[in-house]
Amino acid sequence: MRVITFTIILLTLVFGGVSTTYGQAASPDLQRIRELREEIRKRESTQTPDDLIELNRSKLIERRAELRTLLKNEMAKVRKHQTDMEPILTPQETERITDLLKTYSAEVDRLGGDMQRDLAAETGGGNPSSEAAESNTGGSTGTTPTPTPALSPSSDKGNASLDCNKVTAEEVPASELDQIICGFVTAAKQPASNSLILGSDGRFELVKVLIAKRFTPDYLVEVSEARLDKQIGASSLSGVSPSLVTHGGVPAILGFAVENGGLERSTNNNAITFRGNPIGLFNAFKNKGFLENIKDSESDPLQRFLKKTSFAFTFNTDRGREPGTFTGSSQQLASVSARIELINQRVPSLYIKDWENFIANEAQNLSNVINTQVKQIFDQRGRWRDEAMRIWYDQLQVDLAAASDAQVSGVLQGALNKIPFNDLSPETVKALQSIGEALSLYQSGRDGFVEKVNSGTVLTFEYLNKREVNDPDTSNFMVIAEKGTAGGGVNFTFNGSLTIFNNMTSLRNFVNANPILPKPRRVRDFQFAGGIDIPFGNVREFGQFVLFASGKYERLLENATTDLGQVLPNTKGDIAHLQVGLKIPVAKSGFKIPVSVTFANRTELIKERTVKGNFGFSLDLDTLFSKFKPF
Amino acid sequence: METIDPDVFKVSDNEVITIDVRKTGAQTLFGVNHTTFTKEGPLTEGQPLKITMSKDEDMEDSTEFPNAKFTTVTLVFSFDSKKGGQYDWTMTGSNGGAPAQGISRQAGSLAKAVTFFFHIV
Repeated sequence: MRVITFTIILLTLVFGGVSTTYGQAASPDLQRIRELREEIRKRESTQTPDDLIELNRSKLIERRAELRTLLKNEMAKVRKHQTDMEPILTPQETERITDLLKTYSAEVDRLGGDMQRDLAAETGGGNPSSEAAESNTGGSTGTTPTPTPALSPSSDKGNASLDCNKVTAEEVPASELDQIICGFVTAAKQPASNSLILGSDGRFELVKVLIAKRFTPDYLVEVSEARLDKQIGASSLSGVSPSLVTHGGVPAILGFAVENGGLERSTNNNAITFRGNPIGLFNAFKNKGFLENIKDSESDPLQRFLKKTSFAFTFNTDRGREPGTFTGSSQQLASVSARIELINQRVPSLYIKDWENFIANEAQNLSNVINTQVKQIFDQRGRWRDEAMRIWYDQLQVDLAAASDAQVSGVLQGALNKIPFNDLSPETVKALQSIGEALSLYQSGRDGFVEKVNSGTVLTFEYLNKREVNDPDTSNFMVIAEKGTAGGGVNFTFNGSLTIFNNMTSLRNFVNANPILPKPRRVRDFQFAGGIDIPFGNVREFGQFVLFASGKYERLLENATTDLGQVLPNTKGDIAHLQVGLKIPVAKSGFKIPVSVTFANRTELIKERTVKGNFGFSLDLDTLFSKFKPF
Repeated sequence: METIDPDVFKVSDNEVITIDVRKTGAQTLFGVNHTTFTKEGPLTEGQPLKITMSKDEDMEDSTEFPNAKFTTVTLVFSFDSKKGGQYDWTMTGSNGGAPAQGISRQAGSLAKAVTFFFHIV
């Protein structure tokens, strides 16, 4: 009996202790906070030998920066908990939350002050010294670094010459280096940050910056632009478009285009086209950010289907009560269209084998080279071997900690511009060269994969309802096919379409009143068109030019009708067009000006050769919307 | 497993380190490579990487801990997306200790990489 009782008591103590321990198990962050506080306390209180003062001070800066970040994270979590649970929190819980936030905030402020005070301290009296204090930082180089001068926040708050909001929103051409820098800015601006921790991928990103600054390889410093696959302007059949060829592709949110001059008729019309996607439009009105919009549609089958569709409304501003003014009235509505993607081979998941091949070769090579060379750049504690980089990095941490949110981008960019890439040791330079070569191979491999994806076929079906003032309304059914070349730069487009009259009544009435005219048929015409787009130019300096050429053949099966609804006899027949043009970018603005010349053997109404010139401008609102609703 | 500095760890001899990488963020094909002191290759999505940290392997001596060995493990993250790609990773040790976590967010089209520094005591 005693044994049983003792066993029960013993088991209770054991499992009670385990459950207590389990109940008290702290999150990894809280555990790390405790470890950091303990380490900082020890480092502050221990009498450090002279030759270890500098190293100890450097470690204190890092530990304080890390602790500040974790404390700010905890504050953010507490605030979120308070917001989420507000209706049901008791007064005691609210008071506890307030006290917790005050305590954390005070500790964050104290740590910041300690960092700045400690680094600005003068020599002597046990304070960090800038006199000859050698330290053994280990590493295979065997060098003894020179003492680091005491650091204080620099007065130069840097210059945010790179607008990272525009780079992120793809409003301006950007190089890989620009995007790496903006990645740093984004990370440093995260709530509870204001530091550049070398952990996670930060080390390699700084290595890339060093490679870019030291060797200026093209793949890091040159820019690239988006590919051609977007239709912004009016469809070629809406009667107000200067384009012979309609492009495939579906933009995510409203696109806006103003074009001047028409080609199908002899009159001169002004067109405003809005083309959009149902999902993008719906999410835009739900007040969501642009990126969240795209992520939602990937998980829902219905949304994935709707993402392949688009709609467009074209307004003719010459119509209505105020010609020349866009009023958006039904009178000005010239056409309504709907489009669906039938085939889209420009989807990476269709090229899994090519991706796996790239990962197994170029990407694996990069991993192997990094793993070998990183030990030449960083010591066994993950610190810079180069003295110049250590000083630069420590100063950056101090400056970031002292910077306000508005100053972070400028401070970071200013520091990255001052990175000491000319003061590196030969071993570091050699390691950077090896990594740079592996990165170049990696980029070539990735480019090859992307070009293969971009050369895929896109097949789109479009229905266009054309609303006329006096002419009979028509419906057009068009198939649009697009294919790129293996290099990915040149794009071929082909259209085939059929047009029918929506309502035969007005036509029949006119023909009945004019017996010499033949009986009208439902099918008005069929057309075939083909085109080619060739991008070229220095994207960074001027933007991307696009040279385009296209041809169109139309078989008019019925006599043409005038604006007044009159059928002109003997106008059936064949019409051929040839167009050449150039899209001229307005540098770094997102605007492009298309300029073109079109030759035709006749128009629909007049059997005479014609030569016409057209110009206009187009703007994609996707990028503007991204700017106003970032992330 | 004990974290000494960001991505610098102290582990026990023959401790098994498990690294789990998940693809998050914008749609992208999974592309993660690894290189260790004994093996290398692409990771398979959904299958954590296990590495046994053994002092018997050919490694350099640790300068931080007596009688310890030092080695590195590198992960490279690739994105086929234009932007918005992200990988989350978590590392745990079979001998316990707080797990380490990290995020790699796409910045441009080039790969991102993280190197872990291990001291095997």
